[in-house]
Amino acid sequence: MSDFLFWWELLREGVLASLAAAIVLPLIGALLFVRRSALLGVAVPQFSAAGLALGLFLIPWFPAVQEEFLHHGHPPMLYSFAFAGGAAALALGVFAALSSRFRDYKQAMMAAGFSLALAVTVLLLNAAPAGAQLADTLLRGEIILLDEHGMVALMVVSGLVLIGLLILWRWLLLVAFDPEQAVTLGHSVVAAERWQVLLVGAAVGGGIVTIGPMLVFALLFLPPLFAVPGKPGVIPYLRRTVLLSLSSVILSWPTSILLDFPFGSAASLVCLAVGLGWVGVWRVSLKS
Amino acid sequence: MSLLSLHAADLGYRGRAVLRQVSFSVSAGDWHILHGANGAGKSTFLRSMVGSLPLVCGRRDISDGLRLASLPQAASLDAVFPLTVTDVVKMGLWHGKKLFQRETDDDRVQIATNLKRVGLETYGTRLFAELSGGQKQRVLLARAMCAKPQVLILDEPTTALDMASRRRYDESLRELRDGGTALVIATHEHEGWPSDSRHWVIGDGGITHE
Repeated sequence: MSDFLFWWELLREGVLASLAAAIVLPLIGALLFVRRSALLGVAVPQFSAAGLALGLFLIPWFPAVQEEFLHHGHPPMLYSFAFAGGAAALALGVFAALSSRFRDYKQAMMAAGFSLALAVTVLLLNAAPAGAQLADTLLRGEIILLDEHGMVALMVVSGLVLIGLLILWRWLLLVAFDPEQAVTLGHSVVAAERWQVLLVGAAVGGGIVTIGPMLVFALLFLPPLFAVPGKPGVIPYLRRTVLLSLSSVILSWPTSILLDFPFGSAASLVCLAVGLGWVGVWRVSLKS
Repeated sequence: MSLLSLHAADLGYRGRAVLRQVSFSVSAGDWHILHGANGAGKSTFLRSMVGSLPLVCGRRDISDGLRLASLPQAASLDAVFPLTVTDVVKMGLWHGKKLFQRETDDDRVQIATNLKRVGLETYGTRLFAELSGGQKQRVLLARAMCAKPQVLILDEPTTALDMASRRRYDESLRELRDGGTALVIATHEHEGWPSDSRHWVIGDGGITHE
């Protein structure tokens, strides 16, 4: 019992943050997956990381932020989130505008955007004071180091995104599946696209500044992909996606501690193992 | 009384007109059949009627509170969505505030009734993506029926149908028209339409009465 309390005290912020991310990010990933925009889900977090790097680079220009950075080892969450979420939303907006104009080059543009954002991130982090250290922590997905500010920030953002998804999911689904039908039923396609940009930008930006890009990537893509086999229907699919994600994150904690893996890497591998396990179970159940 | 109309409208994409000076009007119970070669502009015309494609110039009038439904080609819908037949049909009910409201018993009855009308009452839990082209087209018709449309716009609806399915499909369309729904249908088929239907030809940058 005392062992449990010791670990709980140590890991509480990280565990709660990872559970919040495990509910929201796969739902966002499922949205990108069914819209065949998975590449967008790779590019946007990288833009978000570039935004965070820009925020770190600009710290010396903001004395209050610098003070908090020196005190806590990271800038204020709202400051980081403004840069990371803003960059994600900006990238989504630019991609949407370019995609409607150059439809045939959509995938190539996202891949190019990813490589450019990666280059900018590295350059800015090199130039930022202590940027490399924070980036290394985020990149490895070491959420054991997450403090209460980070946990609260992620839980608030995740909660708002989840509420947004619950309210808007029919609209987003309708526009994604058959935009013409949405128009005939009197619903704006453009407004739905804007809401989607906002929700994806917030979820990805919030994830990047708190749990890091590796865990964001893993939770965005692996559960929605492995949840495809199963009972037909949108709700069962989304339920499976979240269940696979949650069980992966829960199993990742002992895996990360016992094998001394950074949490991001452990979570990615456990997501893969849990996903493959589910596909295997589903195939066996179909045969029997 | 006109429910939906275009007046001296140029239709096209990004300011470039594919069809020029189009005037067209739909009233209750009308049955308009649009013919034309591939690429002539049938889909451009239908999208402009629906309102999903802005007019290059001219005017589109729509009567207040008009219930409009469109039936796309089933092949144009993405197969990656894990939607069941019921999921697709219930989308027909998501007009106005219904988009944000809980599903009611009445909604479920409507979905079941309309699936039965198109002969797919046992397909509710099947994946939409796994159906044949003809079955998908019938599911989309059931979805359109759920919307109780005053005007229904159909893009080549009978392309993937065999003879038996076509008969059933035509019966459903007649039921809709008997209920006062106006139909605008783009098709390559010249036969099998009611004698009082009005035929139009889309081509050479315009639309003409046949």
